[in-house]
Order: sequence, then C-alpha cells, then structure tokens
Amino acid sequence: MNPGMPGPEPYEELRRLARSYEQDVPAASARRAAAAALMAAKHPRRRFRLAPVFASFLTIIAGNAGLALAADPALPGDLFYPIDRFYERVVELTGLGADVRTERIAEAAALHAKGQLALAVATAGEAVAGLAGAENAGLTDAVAALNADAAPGQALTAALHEETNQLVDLAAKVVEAAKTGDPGDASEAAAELRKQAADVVIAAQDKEPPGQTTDPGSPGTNNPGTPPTDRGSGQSASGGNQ
Amino acid sequence: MPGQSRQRPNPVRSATAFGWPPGFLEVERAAHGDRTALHEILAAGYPKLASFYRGLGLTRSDAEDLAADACEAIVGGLGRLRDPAAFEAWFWAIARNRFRGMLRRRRHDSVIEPMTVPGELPGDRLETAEDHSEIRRALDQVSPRDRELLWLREVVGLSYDEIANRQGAAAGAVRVSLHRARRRLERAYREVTGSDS
Repeated sequence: MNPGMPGPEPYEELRRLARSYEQDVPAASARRAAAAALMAAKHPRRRFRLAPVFASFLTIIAGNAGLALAADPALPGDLFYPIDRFYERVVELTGLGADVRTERIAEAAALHAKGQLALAVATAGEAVAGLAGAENAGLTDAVAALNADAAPGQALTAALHEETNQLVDLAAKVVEAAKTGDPGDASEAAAELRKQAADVVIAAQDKEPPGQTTDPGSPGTNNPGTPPTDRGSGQSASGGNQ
Repeated sequence: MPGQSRQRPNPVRSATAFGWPPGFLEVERAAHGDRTALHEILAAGYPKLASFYRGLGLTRSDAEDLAADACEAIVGGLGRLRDPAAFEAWFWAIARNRFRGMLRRRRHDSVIEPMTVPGELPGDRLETAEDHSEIRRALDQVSPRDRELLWLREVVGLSYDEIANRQGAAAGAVRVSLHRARRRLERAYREVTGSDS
C-alpha cells in the first residue's frame, strides 16, 4: 500500500472496544467497588511492605557495624571511647564472647605507648578488677601518684615509663593466669602486680627533675620483675606508698 | 493548541450511565467530604478505569482489581485536589500511576498479556458484545506506553496539555509521542485488516 494513502482509522473501533469493556462492568459492581473504596478510605488497611522494613533493618545493622568498627580503636579519653565501650557491652550481653579484660590490657599498652601513664595504669586496673588475688593490688595508689606527677610542664622519666610498662605486662599476666584457671599462677601474678604497683608509686614520687638524662645501665632493682632504672633499687625495696 | 485539542469527538464521554466527567460542583462537594457525591463519581469512574486497564492489556480480573485500587487512591487524594476543574486529568494521572506501580511491583511480562490469545477468563469474550478482534490484535502490536497515550487521547479525550502536565512532560513531546503511536497503531491496524496489501 502507498504509505501516503489514507488507511482505515482504528480510533472509532478503539472507542467501541472501550465502550464494550465499560459495559462488561455491571452498574451494581461499579457501585459495590465505589462503596468498598469509600469504606477502605474510612478504615485504611495497614499495608505491610517487607522491602522498606528489610532495608531499614539493613541500614541500622550496617550503620551500627560501621560505628562499632570506627569506635573500636578508640582509647580511654577519646571521643568515641564511650561508643566502643557501649558496643563492647552489647557484645558481652549477647554472649558473643567479648574478651573485655584482654581488650583493656591492649588499651593500657596503647596508652602507655602514647605516654598516658596514669590512664594506662587505670585501664590495667580495670582489666584485673574483680580477679582473685588482684584486689588491693595498689593500682589506685599508682594512678594517684602518676596523676600527681603528671602536672603540666613536668616530663615523665624513662624509668617511670619502664615501671608502668612492667605494670601493664604484669596485669596482662594476671589476666592470662585467670584464664588458665590455675589459682597458684593467679595469686603469684597478682603478688607481682602488687609489687610493681608499689614500684610505680615510688618511681612517680622520686622522679628525677625534668631535663636530666636517664641511665639505663645503672644498677638493678631488688624487685626481680623490674629492670634496672636510673633511680636505683633501694627506693623500690624500701617499698610502700609514701 | 490546547483549545483545538478538545474539538475531537469523544463518543465514550457522552455514553456513560452516571455522567462523565463529573461536574465542577459535584467534584467540589466530593472533595469537601460529600460521600454521596464521591460515591457517584467513583461508580461512574470505576468502569472507565477497568476499561482503561483492559485496554492496556490487563486481564479483566486484574483490571478490575487495579480499578478498585485506583478508586481508593482517588478517595484518599481528592481532598488535596486544588482545582476541581482539573479533576479529570488528575483522575487519569492516578489511573496511570497505579498501572505503573503495578508494573513495577510485578514483572512487566507477567502482567501485560496479548489481547488476542487466551489470557482472559473464558467468560470475558462472551460478555463483550462484539469481538473487536482487529483492534485488539492491532493493540497487541504497539507498546503499553503507546496504548496508554492513545487511550487517553482517543478514548478519554484528554488534551495534550492535560496528558503532559500530569506526567511532567512538555505538551510538544506528548504530541510527537502520540503522532508516532498513531502511526504505529494505524500500520498495525492496516496489517490486521489486510487493507495495506
């Protein structure tokens, strides 16, 4: 056929089709449908759609996981640290096996590395809190001594760093001993920790004035767990939280 | 021009039992909570919606379900219709949105069925006064989008502006789309009627 030639127009037929479809709907059905729509508007159905619920759930899970991951490396004193502790508590409560004491020891070591000795000792204290034999280990005194020592402008000595490092290591040992469940190991480790806490107190109180160099090769201490420090061992042996 | 686009005769518009489209006052009463007026509008609109959806290729039962769904949407949204004079364009925009929503929810292919193969209930054909097989076969050969535009323009009688405004398109774009849709339907119709051989 020549495309330019007018063909039969389908539109009249289309309208007839539309009319026949309309006539297929009885008036009574139309009235019933209208009444049902009015009724449905009066009492709207609560349509439960799974997709938005699922998407919201995933968003919440992903958001929480992201926040927990972001907060995980936080240390005491950091902005995100309370969030880290919150998620840690959540994991602990859900029984997913959070090793809180080991986490505290890792934080104490990181704080020590940053030079925040008082916080490091306080965090190590949290790690051993409640463990058999570790009560009254003198860590509170050590924290107090370190806090008094860390006045602005005062430099912390290498000896004090080392004593604190030893303390954190011994706290780790106490935690490990508690895990093994051997009471002998645990009480021995706790005793070492107690001694070390006293050494930290002494080192904090007798810290050499700022600017003086330390001598790592100076004579050792009476405390076998403590490496030689520039302050000598006599003070450590004299012990006590003076 | 919008004024000219309304001059096309529309036999379906004047052939309804309840009167369609509803008058300005009737729409305003319905919009202000007159349930009788709203009931009359819906009772008149429901067969039109069912017809529209069947024209787009839905089975009779799907078309009637979707028409009922659209009626609910109309009841819910009528209070927000600012201009009662724009009721009809608004009504058909809701009808189209419901259809597209259904296409999105279901797989497109499982909804649109050929109009000339058994896709309807056995009674569907018997209840249709005439077979209309030629136009049904021609409609099968154009896209759902073409069917929608052709129906709104040629059956419902909406203007280009009315079709365009409610879908956020330019009237010119609708005019071009309709021109192409007409050519496709006319070609398909010539093929099925054998008048192009």
